[in-house]
Amino acid sequence: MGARRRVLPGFGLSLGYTVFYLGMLVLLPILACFAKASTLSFHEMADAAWTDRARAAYLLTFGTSLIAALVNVVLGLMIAWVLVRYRFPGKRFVDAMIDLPLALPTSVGGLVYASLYVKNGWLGRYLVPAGINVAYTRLGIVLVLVFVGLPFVVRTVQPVLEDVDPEVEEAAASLGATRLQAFRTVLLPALLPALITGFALAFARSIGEYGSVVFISGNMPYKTEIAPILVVARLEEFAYAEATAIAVVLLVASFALLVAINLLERWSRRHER
Amino acid sequence: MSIEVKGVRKRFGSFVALDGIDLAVPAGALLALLGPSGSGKTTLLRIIAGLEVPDAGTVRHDDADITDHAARDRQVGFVFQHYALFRHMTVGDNIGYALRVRGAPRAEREARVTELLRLIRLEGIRDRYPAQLSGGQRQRVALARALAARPSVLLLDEPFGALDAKVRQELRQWLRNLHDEIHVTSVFVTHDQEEAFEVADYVVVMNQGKIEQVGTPAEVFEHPASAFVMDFLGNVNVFQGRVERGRALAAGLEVPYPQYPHAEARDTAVYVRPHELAVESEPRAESESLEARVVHVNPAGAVVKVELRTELAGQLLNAEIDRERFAALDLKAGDRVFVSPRRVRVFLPDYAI
Repeated sequence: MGARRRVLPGFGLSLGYTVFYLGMLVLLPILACFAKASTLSFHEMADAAWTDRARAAYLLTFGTSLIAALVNVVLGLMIAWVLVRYRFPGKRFVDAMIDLPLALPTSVGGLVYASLYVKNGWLGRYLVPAGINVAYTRLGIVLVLVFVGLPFVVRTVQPVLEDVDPEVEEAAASLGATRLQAFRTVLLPALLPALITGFALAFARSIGEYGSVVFISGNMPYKTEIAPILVVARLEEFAYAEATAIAVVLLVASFALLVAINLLERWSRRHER
Repeated sequence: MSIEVKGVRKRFGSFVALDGIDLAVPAGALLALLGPSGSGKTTLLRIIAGLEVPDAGTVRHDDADITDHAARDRQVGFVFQHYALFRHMTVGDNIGYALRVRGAPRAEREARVTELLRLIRLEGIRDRYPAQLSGGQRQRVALARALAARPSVLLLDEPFGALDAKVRQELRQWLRNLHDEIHVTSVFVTHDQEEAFEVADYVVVMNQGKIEQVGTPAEVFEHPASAFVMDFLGNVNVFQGRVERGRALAAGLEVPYPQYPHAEARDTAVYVRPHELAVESEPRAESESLEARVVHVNPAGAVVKVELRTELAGQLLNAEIDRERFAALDLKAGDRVFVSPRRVRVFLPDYAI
């Protein structure tokens, strides 16, 4: 029996490389993480990863990430809309600025945000007397996570929006739909898969975010301490196994959420054969 | 419902799309806007639909001025060239969309969808998505969707443009039959004169943002109003020549042309349609027939199409002769023949006497 011939050459090589790459860069470190955590017994692990302080940190991490990703879906859609549908001076500049949070060290972002919102910062001097505290609060965490996650939504929605045929909106209008109806029933469903993907990316990015949060949150246990910071805190106490136990919980939860979001995204594409 | 367009103008930047259009579409008529690309026919259709705002002029439905009405308030069904179906909705949801946005009860919507699916003879595809349909099916779904809210005007932009020849032919006849059934005032855009003549009650020939001629297919075909219409209807032989004293002279031929009795000679193009060109094996009297050689014969069709090259000027001519005549002549490529026009058409630019 001869080998099956393929029209495109290089399948073996590229698949081999892909598997090797994923194995070395993603799977191996994760395995190491699990291996380290498994030096603890199940009870020790549960004790380390499921303390009150850790649970508060998980809740904060996933909660702020969820809120930030949702905010980003709305803001990102709006920005993508403006960039795709309108022409205005400085459009290219704005377009380039979107990617800045990707390039900037997030710790710099966090530092700048913190300095803006502290009591005598540019914005803080007006907000703090008005009772709005951003620095060293959960609001501050959400704010930097929005900053970090924004490009992911904009860059996934933008090309899809560019592909939406304006005729489809005209069709809705000629069939009697108001602008709002047309947006809700025609445009939004077309953008939904991209919005879900953008949401997933921003959400995943936020769960793993450390650099910017560490500067703005103040890292108060039970209040503004996110899970990745707790991991570092444990490491500083030389409790390596405990630290990895927390990391494993983060990993498993993130993976489960991403799978669920992926299924949701697939469902939103059910009309494409 | 009748449509009346008056003095409509539209520019896109420096491009003049419509340059003063006056057009009346009688209630219940099926009218074709025919013209080359860039002639403004689609822009005119979109202005009637309210998808484009004219720079000047008015659009009326019956006696109501609807120039400033939004598309959604015009009771117009619009069929887009590329269908513009909603990809994430099933066929049934697409067709029911107009009723859904009007808040019609579900039962009424479902009943109307069933009725329309029967009308377009696609009862079995209600739950499919547009991606799963053929081009012809999508076209019919788009039409059903446009008809769902019982519009008083149906507008179609190049409805058969993206389909292959056979499906096109079927859908043309189907559209004609459908119109005879439901009698909604309809306007469709096409660049295919055959399509316009076959389907429409009235044909409007457009060129460079202006209307060249309005008439029934027979009127337009028999009495083209301008050289442009003559050219655009296509498949015509053009001779450079002149007219004087009731005669047309072209390529060494003389043909009576009583419409121009003046003594002053005028240079002009002389048009002869292929079926108005007689092909004979013997010459007539001098200046009555042209010697030519057969270049190519296409016998597939109700008439035989013969391509000829004149001996003197080397000009290519098309002639159409009936099958009996073809058999009698026994034409082959390379044969020597003589052609003479039975009828010529001349279009003189307006002149003041």
